[in-house]
Amino acid sequence: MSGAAGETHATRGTIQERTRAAAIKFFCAPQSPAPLGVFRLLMAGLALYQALLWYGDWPAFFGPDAWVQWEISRALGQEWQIHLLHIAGFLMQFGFSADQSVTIFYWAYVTFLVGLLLGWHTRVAAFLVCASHWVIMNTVPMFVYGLDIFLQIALFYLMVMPVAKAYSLDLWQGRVSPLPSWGVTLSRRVLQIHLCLVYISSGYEKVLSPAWWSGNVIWRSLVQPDFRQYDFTWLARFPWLAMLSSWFTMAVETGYCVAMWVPRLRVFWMAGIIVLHLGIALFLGLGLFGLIMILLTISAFGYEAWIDVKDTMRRASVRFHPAARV
Amino acid sequence: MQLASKVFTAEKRIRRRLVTSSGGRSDRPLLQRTIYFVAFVHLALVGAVVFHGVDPWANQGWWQRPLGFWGGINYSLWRFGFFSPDVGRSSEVEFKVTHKDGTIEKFSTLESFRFFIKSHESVNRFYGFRTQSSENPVLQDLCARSVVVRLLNELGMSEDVNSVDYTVRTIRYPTMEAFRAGEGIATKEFYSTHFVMDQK
Repeated sequence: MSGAAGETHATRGTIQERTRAAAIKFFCAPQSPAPLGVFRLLMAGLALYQALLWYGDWPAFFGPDAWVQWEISRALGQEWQIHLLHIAGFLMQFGFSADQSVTIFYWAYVTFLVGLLLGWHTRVAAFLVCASHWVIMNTVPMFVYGLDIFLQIALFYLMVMPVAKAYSLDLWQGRVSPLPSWGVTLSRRVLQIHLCLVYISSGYEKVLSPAWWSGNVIWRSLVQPDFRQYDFTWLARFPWLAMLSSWFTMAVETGYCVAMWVPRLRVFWMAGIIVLHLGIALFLGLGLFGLIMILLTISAFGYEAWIDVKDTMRRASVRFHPAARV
Repeated sequence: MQLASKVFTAEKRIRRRLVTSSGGRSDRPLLQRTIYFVAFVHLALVGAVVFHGVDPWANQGWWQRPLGFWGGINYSLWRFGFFSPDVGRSSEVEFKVTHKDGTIEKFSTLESFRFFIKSHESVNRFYGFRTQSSENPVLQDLCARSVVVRLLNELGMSEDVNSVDYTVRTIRYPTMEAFRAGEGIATKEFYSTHFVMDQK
């Protein structure tokens, strides 16, 4: 009896030790900083593209007499939030008008983004980009949607994570080390876990809704004027198709947090996520939103997926060319 | 001599930075532990918000402000249930512009947003605007006035206009089953206001 208890105790000890060792390896074992470099390039590139798209409409959204005037948008925010109104107030001391301040802010934001993209004094550039984007969101709170929220999350991470350790001018000029570190590993895990939480949240909320099980949300999204890109009224005659798309969405989103950690499933799940967001971009017109979600998944799990693909190809080549085994 | 000392100090600083960022073990364990602790608290908060774990306490207690601040800066304390439980009601905004010579011009967001904005990406932003502005009658009034002023400026017709009617209609699509049975799209006037230009 005492022997069995001792054995159980020893086994428990071993399990605890193993779990601890696995957790330390998972969160602390130094990893290559290359995926974080890719994350920086993708997010800064996307934000720059978005800023350039915004150029024509910039005064209409951000000017003092924008669609929602400054007085209204300021009243909607928290007292501690910085609004373009404050930036204009500051620049006014140097003789700039409110309209000029809006233009200066735009070009400053673009300049910071170029700095971040190139990885030149990355930490400072990332801080300035994140702060500027935060001001943008505070200035147009009524026009903010999913894209801006995910971009702000990503920019915040770019500010605190060691993203300059790969593909950056900082590295080229010797300001940072390219060596793997615990900081890289922790950063990648935070990004991966955060994305898992995002998808399980999205899937979980959908699973609770009867309109998602019946496919009516897909149907309404496709036909209503806000998102309509093509005439999808014919879909009402084929409800099973809407239902299938609905179930696919729920399955891909809910299963993300498990499948992305399983090497055999990861590539397929990533393909599913890409198909889902391409569908959102193509059929609902949410192009940049679809793009950021795809890029976030690539940033978080792309490196592992790439290793999975390489392993599979190597195994396949060994199977087809037995001489390679020797 | 002074220059040599400067170079030596800089070299030491770089070397220290390289050492601390190179291995799996930091020479500043307290800092490393603090960073891990902050990262775990951050993820725990994201998880708690996502699974409605903090709903009963989120808006009361001393943590309300720090939580609001943290969420307000990085937007990570957000629920990501896009398009759930259902896709919201759609809406149309119609501007009826009456010119001084009596001619009437109509602009509807249902036809195109081109009179409104230049980039297609910006179209997606108006969904949130219409939903949020309709939540409060005072906000709806303020937004209507602001949007009409912008529209007239954008189209360069403020000198020529006598009045503008601003109307918001909600649009609700039936379920697929009801649509097959012949039920139509329900449109309902939700908000309407009339602006008369100052004739002075």
